[in-house]
Amino acid sequence: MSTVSDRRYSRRRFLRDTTAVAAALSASTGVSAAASSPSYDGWFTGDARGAETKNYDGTTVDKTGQDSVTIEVGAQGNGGSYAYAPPAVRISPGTEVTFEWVSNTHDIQIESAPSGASWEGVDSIENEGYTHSHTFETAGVYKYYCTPHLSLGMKGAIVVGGSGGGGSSGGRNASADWGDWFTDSARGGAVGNYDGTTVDKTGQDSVTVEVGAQGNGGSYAYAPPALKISPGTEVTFEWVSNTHDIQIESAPSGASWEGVDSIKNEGYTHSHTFETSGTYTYYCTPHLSMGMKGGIFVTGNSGGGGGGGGGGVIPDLNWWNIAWIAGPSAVAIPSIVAYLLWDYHRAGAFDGVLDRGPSEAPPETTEAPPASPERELDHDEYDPWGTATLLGVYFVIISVAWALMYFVEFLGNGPHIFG
Amino acid sequence: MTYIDDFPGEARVVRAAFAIAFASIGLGGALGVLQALFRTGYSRSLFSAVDYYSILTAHGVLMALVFTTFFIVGLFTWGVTRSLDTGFRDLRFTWGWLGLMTLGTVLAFVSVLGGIVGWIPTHAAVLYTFYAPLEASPTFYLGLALLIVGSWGAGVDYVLALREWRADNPDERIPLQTFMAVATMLLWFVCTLGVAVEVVVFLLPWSLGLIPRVDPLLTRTLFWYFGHAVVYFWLLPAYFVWYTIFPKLSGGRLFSDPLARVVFVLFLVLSTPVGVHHQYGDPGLSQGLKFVQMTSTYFILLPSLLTAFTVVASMEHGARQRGGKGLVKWLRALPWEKPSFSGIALAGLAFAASGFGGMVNAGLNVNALVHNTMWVPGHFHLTVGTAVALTFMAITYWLLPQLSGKRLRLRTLAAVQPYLWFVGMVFMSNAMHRVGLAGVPRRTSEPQYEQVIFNTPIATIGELHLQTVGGAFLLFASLLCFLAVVVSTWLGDRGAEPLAVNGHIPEALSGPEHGPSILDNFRVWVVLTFLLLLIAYGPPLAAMVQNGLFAPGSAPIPA
Repeated sequence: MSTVSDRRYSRRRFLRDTTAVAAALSASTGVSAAASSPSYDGWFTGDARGAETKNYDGTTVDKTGQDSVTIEVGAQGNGGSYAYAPPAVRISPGTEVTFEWVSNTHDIQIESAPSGASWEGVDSIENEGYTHSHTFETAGVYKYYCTPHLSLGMKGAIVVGGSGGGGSSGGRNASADWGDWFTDSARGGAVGNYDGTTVDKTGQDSVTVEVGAQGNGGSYAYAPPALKISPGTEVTFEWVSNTHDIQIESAPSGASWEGVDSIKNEGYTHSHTFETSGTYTYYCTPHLSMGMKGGIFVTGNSGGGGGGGGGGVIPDLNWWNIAWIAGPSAVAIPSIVAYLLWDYHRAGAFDGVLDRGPSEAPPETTEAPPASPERELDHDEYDPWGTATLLGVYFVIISVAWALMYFVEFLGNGPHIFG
Repeated sequence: MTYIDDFPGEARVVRAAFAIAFASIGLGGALGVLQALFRTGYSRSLFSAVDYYSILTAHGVLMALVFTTFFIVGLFTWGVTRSLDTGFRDLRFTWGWLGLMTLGTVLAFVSVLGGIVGWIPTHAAVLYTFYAPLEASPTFYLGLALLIVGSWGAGVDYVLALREWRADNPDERIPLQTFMAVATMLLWFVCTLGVAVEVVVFLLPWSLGLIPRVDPLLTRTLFWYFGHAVVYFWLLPAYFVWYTIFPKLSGGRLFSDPLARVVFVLFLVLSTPVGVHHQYGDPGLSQGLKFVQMTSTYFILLPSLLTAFTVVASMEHGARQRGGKGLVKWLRALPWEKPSFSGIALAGLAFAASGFGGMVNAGLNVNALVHNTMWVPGHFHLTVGTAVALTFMAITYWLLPQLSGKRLRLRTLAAVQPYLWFVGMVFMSNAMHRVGLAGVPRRTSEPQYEQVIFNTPIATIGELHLQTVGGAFLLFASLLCFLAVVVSTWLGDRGAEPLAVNGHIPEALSGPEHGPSILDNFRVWVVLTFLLLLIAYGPPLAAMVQNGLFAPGSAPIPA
């Protein structure tokens, strides 16, 4: 049976799905949800642009073999009506996808699409009742989001083509998703020496990749083509034949690997230690059309957040910072607790709290006696020259602050609201 | 003999109000630390970016509405009964309004909590500035309405007590503390009219589904009609302390009683027709109206500058009576080791700094630099978050013993607390002001954008975020000190030791007899207030009503 992650399972959709299942069964092709669950390069996590997509539970709804598919825009999810439902769908090429707006103020901005794809999304903000249809012909992964609600996690993805049995398993950061990189729908030819397996070398300190190994109709292969490693692994590329380079097709943001720009011959080696998690894809310029392409997937670790390097908005958490933040409270809070305990102990207040009996009449309070001043100053003897001095200083300070605010802090930044 | 012996029933009311105020500042403060961690990016894993807004709402409502309002009604209950030397006529009425306020607070808080806790079927992530198009559960609006109606009851109690006193003392001037409490509550009646109409006529029926849509501009305008005057409702009780108790704590006498009355009258008259300066960025309001209200906003600097003079002069009088000499050296003669004094003095210093920020906010053109940026939360953490809150904490050290008959305990901790708060706030607020100048927005859980880099000429955004978080932790440590002092004093035995304070308040150097008696005629000032309001708010509200009460010019988003 089909399971859809969207909780609001309308009657109409139920009918449509059951019809689909019946049709599929009669054609004796099983329709199963979550036949394969690509990780979409972390698109649905908070590491990508925008927040985590909470209505994506790791399942890609399999709608392959259907002529038309509907995706709700503005369905319940992500803390309001801020979800595409279902968020991730797999369809066959030629399927018409209809987007139905079920709440207001949403659009569809395309984050990424396979090269040659013609879908342009919906640029304008539309309201409930609006629909948009597109027939997806180009195979590959399409990622999209809603501009107003990106920061709430309103993101979606469509996979066109591909079989149900990709061999990848669920779980965040557990499996590499190469998209269509190893097929001929990406740049260059199909990779003949990629048989669908990603070689798992996680936990190893160093790994070797052969450049110019046998494959793709000659010595035009990276071996292994698809590799999975842990952060901190040093990968050594060894040239075993002539005239190859390593051009980087894609790398996670913040990654420092630059590949090998010039053409090198047998005997050359290049090493790089991969620290930044994510998917790296690369190819050989002279032999791209033969399918000489490769990929490295670096598994996740705890470090890093989105946008850390570029904007400088989030400072990196180093020990110095942690000490700065935690220092005051680490000193203040235990001192307060210790002082309290000591004081209670000294005053014997614990006994008092425990055996406080009802007292009949409250004892009268004694106040401190009013203090008499050192010298009495009357109305006529007192001229507040000190006050005049302080206020004069204050006016000088605010004049300086005004200049500082306007000419130093602000000049050079444009007004934020008007103009 | 102290206050609790003279008015045991009223003292119990004040203690109850203070207890709720202190519980909410403790809770709200903890939420504040979470926010600082989340916003600056130090910890994004504790809760989601969506929950941030519920936590922000809870922090704002608990600190700015619940803590302040409960403390204020407690403080004024003490001040009115003490200065008139008469209890309230019927304490059942008093407990009634306090109960109503408490019920409202619980309703509103649980509604906000529903945004975080799954099994509570409410949500109220509408922030402290609760206007459309953000919509909360009806229980949130109902709770706020009860809180406000309950506080009106407090005002009624004070006005009735004053009338009774006047009948017995027809020729005397109103005691200064009662004058100030009544002036403040009259201001509160006038300004809460706006938010009451916003909540009861528009937001509550809208969230119940009785009316399909509301005009966002109208509800915003009604909110800000209340939303700036409310800051004076917080500030004036602090001024009440600065004028009537602080001179005594400095060892001197109030410089001028008539000047204090003039200041409170000016606040009553000028506080409300200035709200549009929060809406300089709003389309739909004319530039002319914005200019008019900018002018009245600058008028309201006047009573605060008068206060700066009178309060500092009274403090100087105290220092000179304690043997202080010189043009500035007298400052060293003041009792900086006493938390009730140092807390108020530091609060005043913070207010002097934030006065500068307020002048920037008020200017129609300069406001564009800082509108809706972090500058604004930086500003109100100095004003309500320090000038008001630190004054309230400081005066608690002086007042709580008289309300409970228990000597203050943990006095070393109490002596450190105001300095800890001040330093923490200097770090946090300075950083918030400066990231605001760089353009970092307020009311945003993750203020970072791919296309935008925020530039600061001195230091980096990362360093300023570090200051924000470090300051927040210092503030929280200070708050824990305060609560430890309060709780352990509360647990002490009544009458076991003589108090270290006394409730004696010396006369002013220049007494009320030196001022004109029209100052005490509240009728004149209330009529003047409404006349100014008619000029400031009549035309824009009339235009919005003509436009259709429930038919906004543009569709509310989301509908």
